[in-house]
Formats: sequence, structure tokens, C-alpha cells
Amino acid sequence: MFDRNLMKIDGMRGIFAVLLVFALLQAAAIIGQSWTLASVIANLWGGFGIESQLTLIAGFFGCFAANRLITYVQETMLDKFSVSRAEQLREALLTATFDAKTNVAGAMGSASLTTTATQGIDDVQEYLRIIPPKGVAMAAIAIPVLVAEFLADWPSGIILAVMFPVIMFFMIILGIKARDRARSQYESYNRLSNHFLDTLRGVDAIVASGAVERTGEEVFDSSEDLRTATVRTLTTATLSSVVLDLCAVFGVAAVAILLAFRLMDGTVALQTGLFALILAPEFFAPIRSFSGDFHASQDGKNALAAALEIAQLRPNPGADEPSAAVEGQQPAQEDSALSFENVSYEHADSTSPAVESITFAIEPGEHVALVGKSGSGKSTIASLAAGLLQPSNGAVSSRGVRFIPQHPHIFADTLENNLLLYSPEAEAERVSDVLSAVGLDDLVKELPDGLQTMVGEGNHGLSGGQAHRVALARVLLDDSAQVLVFDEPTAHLDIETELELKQCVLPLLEGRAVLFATHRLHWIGSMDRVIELKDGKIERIRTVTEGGDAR
Amino acid sequence: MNSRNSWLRGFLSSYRKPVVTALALGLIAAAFSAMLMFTSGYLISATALEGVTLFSVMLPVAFVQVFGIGKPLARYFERLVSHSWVLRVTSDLRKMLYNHVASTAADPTQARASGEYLSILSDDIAHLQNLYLRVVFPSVVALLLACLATIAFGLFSPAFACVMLVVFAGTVVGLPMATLAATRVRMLKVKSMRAESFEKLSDDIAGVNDWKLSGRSLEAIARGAAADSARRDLDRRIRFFDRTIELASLLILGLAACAVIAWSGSSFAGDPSTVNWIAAFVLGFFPIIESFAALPSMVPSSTDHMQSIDRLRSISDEGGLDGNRDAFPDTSDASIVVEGVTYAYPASRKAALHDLDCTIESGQKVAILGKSGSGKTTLVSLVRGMLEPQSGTIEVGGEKMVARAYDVSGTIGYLSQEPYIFNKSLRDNLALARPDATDDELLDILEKVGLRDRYDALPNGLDTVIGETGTGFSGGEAHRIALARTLTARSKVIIVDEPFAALDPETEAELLETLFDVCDGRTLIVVTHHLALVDRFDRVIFLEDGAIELDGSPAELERSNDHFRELLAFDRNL
Repeated sequence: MFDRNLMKIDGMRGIFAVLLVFALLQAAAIIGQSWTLASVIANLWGGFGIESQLTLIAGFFGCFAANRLITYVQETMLDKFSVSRAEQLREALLTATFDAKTNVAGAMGSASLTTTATQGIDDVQEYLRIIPPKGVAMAAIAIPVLVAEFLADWPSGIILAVMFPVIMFFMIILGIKARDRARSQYESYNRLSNHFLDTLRGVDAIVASGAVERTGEEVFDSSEDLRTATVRTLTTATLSSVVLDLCAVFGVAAVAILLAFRLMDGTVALQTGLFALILAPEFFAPIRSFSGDFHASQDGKNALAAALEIAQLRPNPGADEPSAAVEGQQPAQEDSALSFENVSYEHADSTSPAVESITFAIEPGEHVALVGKSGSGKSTIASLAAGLLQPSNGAVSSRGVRFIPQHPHIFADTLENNLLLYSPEAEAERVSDVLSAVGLDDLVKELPDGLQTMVGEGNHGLSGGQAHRVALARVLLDDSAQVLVFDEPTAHLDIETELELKQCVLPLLEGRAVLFATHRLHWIGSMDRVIELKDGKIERIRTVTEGGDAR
Repeated sequence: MNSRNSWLRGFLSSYRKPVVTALALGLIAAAFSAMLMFTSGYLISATALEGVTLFSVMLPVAFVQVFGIGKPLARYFERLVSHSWVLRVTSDLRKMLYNHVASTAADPTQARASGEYLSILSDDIAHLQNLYLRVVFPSVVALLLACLATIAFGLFSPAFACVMLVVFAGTVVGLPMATLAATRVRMLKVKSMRAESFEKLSDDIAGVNDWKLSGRSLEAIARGAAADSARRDLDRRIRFFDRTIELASLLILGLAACAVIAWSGSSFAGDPSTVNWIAAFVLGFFPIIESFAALPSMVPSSTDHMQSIDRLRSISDEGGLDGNRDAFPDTSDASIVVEGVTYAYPASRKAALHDLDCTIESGQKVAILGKSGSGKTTLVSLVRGMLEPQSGTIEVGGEKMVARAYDVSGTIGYLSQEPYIFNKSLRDNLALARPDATDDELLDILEKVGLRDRYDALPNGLDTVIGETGTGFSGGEAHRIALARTLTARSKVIIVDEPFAALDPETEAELLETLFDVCDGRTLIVVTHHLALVDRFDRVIFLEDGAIELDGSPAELERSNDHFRELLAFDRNL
């Protein structure tokens, strides 16, 4: 039941120590509150005037207030603690994500990573805030209360002590049963609950197939099936809390009735009886409070495990040099601008095809195309050249590589900040030169706020061709870029845009070393050499002759 | 605010019986918990009197047992009834949301809901569940409990009942409402900050490679961390406020407990016939404290749900689907005649298509090209009967097309850019348009679209669940399934929109071949972005700025048009 991951959180030991002290103080306050209350009632019952009881009533209120104040202080303290740890964990997680030597986003998928870093961290915060005090209270409040009950009236103490293992027994039995039941229903349950979103996402196909009304009925029916399944699961799942309730209530009722008999015998004083009765529910309170939050806390527990796993990720064991980001590559040897020495890459995840024993070198100013069927490893080699992947074997060396990806990401920011991604210090004059070189000057004139216009998701949308021009401009603004690596830059554009973009790109390649992964063969005429790939290996390297034919 | 409340009330009143049952059970559970302590206190006091017989305390003993067993059982059934009711409302809401999404999908002029927004709406429904289960029901139960408790005090002392009424009104209604008012604005702020930081982070993670390449990742992290920390801080301050109010509420109730002691002590003491009520009232009061104390921190969370409700309400106000549609008239041929069609989108001044004439004969294979914004998709939407032209007419097979008046699936099959594979069985995926299609028919179609081998490898044949969590289908295969869908529907015209942009050239060529094979005798319109296999088409149409720029057979155009020749040379790398 105890989550070991909690101990990996900084300062958790200290928090537990403080919580223990608080819980013991609270136990004292609860006992005091019950004792004063029992005394007041017994005295009033015995005929004392209310005026004579004011001190005891004040004592009762003091204990009552102290108990609540401790909770208040403790919750405030944990709130602060959990917020600061959530922030730390988020930072560690993102640092690992943005580290050039990891591929967290690729392995997990962007959407699930984003959820872990937002909702997941919020769940962790909630978990750290709520669970530790409740866990501590189960022992540090319940045990002193039980001892007090024993000292006051041992038969009542025995009833409570017996109730505890009974509760545990039923909870475990029912917990296992509910879990088995949930597991056996999981598949159908899961499909039913995803069915709705699945239907919404595919609504175009439904409309095109004329199945709108029939599917509407299906949505309702399947939601009703889900309701039946949920209620059926709840029937068992909430049974454990019913049993817990029943045991607690039964314990209190049993204490009350047994006390009644002994009070009639005169073997117990009223004050003692009342004290034992008032204290009895307090014994069950911590475990009921914990079990109320237990199921909800499972999300936090899982999120903590997931976040810790990512945050503790270290770069590939093969790549041991400590330098950051893309500059982790070795400087290029002698006269080549980019060279691969017997490079292999095996994917731990299946996001990119493996490549094997890749060796080639590109001289300064030389243009090399990388061709092959899809799945032959073009993109993997381009990503290795760009430093986005680390070779599992061999070495990639280069001077100043810049990468133009297949789908350049346009950030939700101003156009200017998007352009200045690699070189935030670039001067305005330089920017305007580059803009006309990549053919974006007309766009900037049309935009309402020129370079300050917000672009990207939710803002002014850029077409595929424009996004590629932005990617080109980013690279050209960076003086250190001597090697340009392209990954299928124009494959998904319409043919007229592709032609325009090609005419814009060709002059910009002059004087730079280029590695160009593509399956559009028209680029080959502008290259010096062609590397043909098959199944992750170099099949052959050809030189392109004047007429554009490959020899 | 009022309309929102009436909308909520609408849901409560449309299923009166389960709501009343759930509230009654909730009240019974809360009241029994107080009554258990009440009777226990009475019992113990009574037995301490001298000369008490077992017989005279039989009634309190029985009550202790009834309340003790009744409370957990009432709580249990309350949970089942309330969940069942809330899930029933969920079913209704889902159907409503589906109808809304389906009607906007059929109408390209309406804003499209992105996949993300659909998830938000679907979550909104979950929020509504929580609002009822965690806020509305407990608040109503607490209110009813307060009334019961006031009545109980009133039976003995109307004056003291008035005092308690004030205390209850303050703690059950006053403090929660005050907290709601005080924190509402800040909670909305936190919510928008959370959404903002989610968007920012998704954007940064989508561009994670660009950040890595820029060497400025730490900058991006630091910027996000500052916003995140500000949000958490504000959120924490709200919780601090809620907690402080909760403490105040508890202390007030603690003082009220002292008042109950004083009142019962001075009214009941000294008289053996009433003296037992002291313990009863004092002990019975404590469970009430527990069920009221959480309200101030519970009610404000409804702020969180309000936006969800507003979104759902705005959808329900728009009304549902525009009725069941008749099938498009059965036509003899599959020709398409577009005459003088002009169309401008509502928000735009410029016409997307301008006075367009175009006749496509039955069985013709046509490629439509053009830059983005040239009107390709608009033309297709008009032919599919999803848009109403401002002027001009469209006829399919000689029958006039009236926008959104027909179910055209039996006549026009449409393949979108990203075919959607449902997370259902292969059979359900194929037979979407005609659930009565026989297995033999489906197998025949699978053979035609080149999926027979893939089918043979499936573990459960047509019953295999495919899609996201099922057996993975590649992009090319997904297109083939979408094609099979239109064949099942027996469409005479097949329109393919920018079909295979995301596929590699070999896969694309294979798919086009299949398309030509199965469309033998059908009219085929392919909106495309390059000239692969252009020779196989009977006709190529280039659109520019909403008008036809070039129109002719590929051979003809190659002979007569320089631009076409240039593009062709480019595409073939000559």
C-alpha cells in the first residue's frame, strides 16, 4: 500500500516527521475534546447548574478549535510543499524532454507527453498534498485513540480493536473482488467509453456514408450500455465502503449497547460511558477518510511514477560526452563538412527505421541527395546528421549543421520570433535581406502587423509552402550554418508551390554543403552525388553528370 | 446565470423520480448518522438512571440498531441511484453533442470542431457529472438536513430553533456563497492560465526538435516554468482562502455546539423526565457539523464546471440535427453538370468560385489541380450537396442537387484526405453506409481494393477490431478501407480529395491503380496536388482563383500548353 516513490521526493522524510508530531497533537486534542464533553454532559445530567460547567465547556471548545487549527496549519504547510515539488518535477521532466540526447517526445508521443507534464503533474501535486497526512493519521491518531478507549473502558476498547481486523479483512476481500470484476470488464468498458470520442472524430465518414441517424441511436445505446456496466461495477466497488461504514457504525452501536447494559448494572459511571461512546467514532474516522480518497489518489500515484521515470532519463549510455544540445557532435575531420563513420542506429522505440554501417563524407560546398523507398532510413540518417538522434555505433562529425524538417513547426508566437529561432540577435537589415531571398517579403507586407503578426496554432495560419520558407529563413539567418540537411522538404506540397519553392531554394544552396533526403527525383539534377539506400544500408553512391543523369 | 440555472434545473426535473429518490436516500443517510448518536446518547443517559429496566430501554436500543444499519445502506443505494441517473443524463448529452457535431460536419460553412475541441466537449460532460455528484447533491442534502435539525430543535424550543436557523443559514448557504463570490474571478483566471500553459506547452513539445536544434531549450523551459509557477501560486492562494473559510465555518459550528450544550443544560437539567435529552442533543449535533463543514470548499469548485455547462448549453440551444434525409433519387447515369455556379463563403467577400461551368460525363476520370485557395474543395463540396450555390445549378445524373436535402451516399462516394478508421470491427467499418451488406459482398469488395491478403492475416476475419487500439493499418491500407466503404455504398460517383499526400510515391501509385480499376464504369474525380499517373485520366482541370484555368485531356494539354508542359517535365524530372 505504501508508495516507495514518495520517498524519492526531496524533503519527504522531514514532512513525515512533522506530520507525525501534528497527528499526535491532534490525537491529544481529540481525546481532550471527548473527555470534556463527556464530563459536561454527565455533570449537567447529575444536576449541576450550567454556570458551574463554563470552564469545562471552554476546555471543550479549546480542544475542538485546537484540533481544527492543527489540520489547518498542516494542510497549508503541505499545500506549499506539494506546489514547490510539483514545480521541481515539471522542470526535471521538461529538461529531460528538451535534452538533445533523449527522444522522449518521439517515444511517448507528443500528446501523451503533454498530458503527463500538465494533468499528470497536477495529479502528483494533489497526491502529495492529500495522501501523506491521511496515511500518517491512520496510525498516529487511531492508535492513541484506541489506547484512551482501553484505559477508560476496556470492553469498549476490545470491541474497537476487534473491529479493525474485521474491516481490513472485508476491505481486502472486496477490494480484490472489485478489482477482478473491473479487470474482466475492462476491455468492454474501455471500448464503450472510447466509442463516443471515436464516433465524434469520424463524423465526416458517417455523414458521407449517410449513417448519421443510425449512428446517433448507437451513441445513445452504447452510452446506456456503459451506464449499466458502470452501475454494475459500482455495486461491487462501493460495497467495500459500505462494509467499512457498517463496521464503524456497528462498532459504535455495539459500544453503546454494551455500555447501556453495564450502566444499568451500575458497573460503569455515566461520564466514562459517554467518553467511550464519543471517542469510538474518532477511531474509525482516519481510515474512512483515507479510503474515501484512496481510489482518486491512484491517478496521482501513477502520474508520479510516470513523471519520475521521464525525469530520471539519462542520455544514451553510448554518448558520454557531457556537452549540451546539438553541438555534442565531434568537429568534422579535415576537409569534409559532414561525415558518417560506420554509423549504426537501432531504435529502442519503433519511431524510426534502423540504419547500419553508414559511411560517407560530404565536402564543403558539395550537394548530396539521399534517396530510397520509404522505410529505407532516409529520415533516420537526416536526423542523425542533424544531431536529433545519437548513433548507437560509429561517429557523426560535422561543422555547423542546420536542419530543414519535413514539417517545420511554426510556434504560436510572432513571425519575427519564429524567424529568429536560431539567431535571436540578428539585425533587422539582415532579416529583411533573408526574407526577400526566401520570397517571404510579400507575405510580410500583407500581414496586418508585419513581422509582429502572431502566427502558428490559433493565429494567422501559414500555408505549407510558407512554413517551409520560414524554416529556410531561420537557417539562413544563422551564419554558423555551413551544412544544410533537408528531410523531404517539398513532398507534400502541391506541384505549383513545389516548383516555386524549388526555384527559391536552389540559389540558396550555393556555397553550402547539402544533404538532401527526398523521394522527388527532380531534385537530383541539382545535386553532385546521390546516395541510394535500401533497408537501412547504402546500396551505392553515384555521381551526377552534367545533364542530370546519374552515372 | 439564471438561464444557466434553469438549464440545470431542467436536467433535474426531467427525471423527477430518480432525483427525488437519490436526494431522499442522501438525506436519510445524513439524518441517520445524527440520529444514531442522538439515540445512543439518550440510551446511555437513560440506563444510568436508577431503577431502569431492560424493557424501558428496548425502544432506544432498537433505534440504535435501525439507524446503525440503515445509514450505510441508504448511502450505498444513494450512490447507485445517483450515478445511474447522472449517467442517464450523460447518454442524453452525448446524443445531443453528437447531433450537433454531425450537423456541423455536414455544413462546411460552420466552424469545424477540431479533434481537441471534441475531447474538451466530451470532458465537459464528465464535468457535469461531477457537478451533480459532488456539489449539487451534497449541497441540497445539507440544506434539507439543516431544515430537519431546525424542526427538531423547534419541537422543544422555537426560540433556540431560530438561533440555530441563523447558524445553519450562515454555514450552509452564506459562507459557501460568499466564498463562491470571492473566488469566482480568480478561479476563472486560474482556469484560463491552465489552458494557456497547456497550449504553450503543447506548442513547445510539438516543436521540440526545433528547440533542440536552436540550442535555446532552457529558455523555453524557463519561460513556461514562470507561467506555471504563477498559476500554481494563485491556485494555492484560492485554496488557502477556502481553507480559512472552512476553519471559520467549523469554529462557528463549534461555538454552536457549545450553545447546544448550554441550551440543553438549562432546559432539560434537573427533571428526570427530560434529563436524557441533554446527551441526545449534544451528541446528535456532531455528525451535523461534519456534513456542513466541507461545503465552503466544495461549492466554489462549481465555478470550474460553469464554463463546461455554458459550452454544452450553447450547443443544446442551437438545436439538433436537421432531420432524416431521403436518399438522393436513383439516377440512370453518373454525369455531373455544373452550370454558372457562383459561391462565396459567408464570412468572405471574395467568391470562392465564380460563374463556373463544367460538365463531366458519366464514367469520365477527372483530375482537378490548383493551388490551395483556388476553389477545388469548394467545388467538391458543392457537387456533394453540402453547400448551396448563390447562383447557378448542379445536376448529378440529371437530378438537381439541393444542398443538404439528401443522403447522397448511395450516389456519391467521398474519400477524404485523412480516412478515419473507427475503433470497431472491420465489418462495421466497411458496412457503414449499408449495414445489410452480406459477408460475401464485403469479401468481394476487399478483394477488389487489394486488401484480401491483409484480411486473410486478421485473427477474427470481419469481426477483428481495427483502428486505434486494434490491429494497426498503415496509411495506404486506411485509404483502401475508405475506398471499400464507398464501394459498399454502391456509389456511382467517387470523389477523392487530395488523396494520398502523406503517402510515399510507390504506395500512392499502387493506390491510384486500384482506384482506376474499381472505378471502371464509375465517374471518378480526383483532387490532387501533383501529376503522378496523369496520363491515366481522361481529363485534367486546373483551377485558379475560382475559375477554370486549363481544361483538357492530358495529351491535348501537353501539346498545347506551355505551363502544363513545364509542370509535367518538373514532375517527371526531365
